[in-house]
Amino acid sequence: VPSHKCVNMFALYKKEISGYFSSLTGYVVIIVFLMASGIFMWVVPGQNNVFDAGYSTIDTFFVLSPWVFMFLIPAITMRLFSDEIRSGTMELLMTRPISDTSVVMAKYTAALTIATISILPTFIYFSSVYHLGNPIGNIDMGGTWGSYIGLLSLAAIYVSIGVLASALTNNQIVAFIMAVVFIFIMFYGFDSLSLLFANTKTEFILQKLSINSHYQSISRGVIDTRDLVYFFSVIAIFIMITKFKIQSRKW
Amino acid sequence: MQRKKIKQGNISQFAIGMAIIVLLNIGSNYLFTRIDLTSDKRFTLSEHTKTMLNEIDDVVYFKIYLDGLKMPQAKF
Repeated sequence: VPSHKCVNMFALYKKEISGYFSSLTGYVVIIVFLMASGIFMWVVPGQNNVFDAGYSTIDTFFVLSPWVFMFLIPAITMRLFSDEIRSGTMELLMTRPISDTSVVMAKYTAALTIATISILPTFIYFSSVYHLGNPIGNIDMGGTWGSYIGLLSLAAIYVSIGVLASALTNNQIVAFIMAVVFIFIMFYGFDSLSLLFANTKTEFILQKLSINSHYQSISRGVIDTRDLVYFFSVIAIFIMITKFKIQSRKW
Repeated sequence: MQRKKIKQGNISQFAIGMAIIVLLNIGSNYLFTRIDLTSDKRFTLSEHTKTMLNEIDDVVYFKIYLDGLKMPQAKF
């Protein structure tokens, strides 16, 4: 018999998931992600085009995705808490027999599920390149799996940032913009800032703080425990801050 | 009274969580492994390379010939 806590958390998770698919949000996010990455990879000529590059890899997909997700994941997460705060159902939720951690985790995993569902159909890209390769199957399987693990970790971080932004305000639009800015700072901001401190220890530290350097390292197909610890830590920190913010309503 | 207790409990929980993450990150810099998933182990030094590098006690010069325009994957 599962404990009541688990049942309640799963109920909230199911409610959020069905919310995505009973409104347009879920479909729009998945379709826009697949269209954006598909058009840049297969249709628009240029350095991201697989045919132009002439190599049997889908590396360009993993270069494009962080930028596409930067706008789509905030769209998934923006209403999670802000809508509850605005409509006053937050108080109702807090009085339910469900712990604060479960509330945050249920909403977090629901948003992450939508992001994961949007990644899954891109195995078609992988399979296409696999069959287009000469000889057939001439694609670095291990390297591609590593890249997929990296992309999933990246999406998990983006969602945790989006969930925090949503808990900070009662306005969805503000939550969306804050999430985009936070994600940009975490993904690219620290990396750009490090250029100001070229050849110093500060440069190294700032680079290690940015998602970009860890994502690129894992995207090559090398799984380093330090990168995994970084991804896990950032997710844990943002979820803890979110939980702290939610709890502060009780004081 | 009750509120103050909840507040203190939440703050200490948050602080303990943060401390664990900081310790985990410091520890991970000393104890780590890496798995190279690429089919040709592109990002791992082979045992042969390591022994060869150990035997060298002079400066090593590299000459790399690349045509940038024909390699979209490697622009320099």
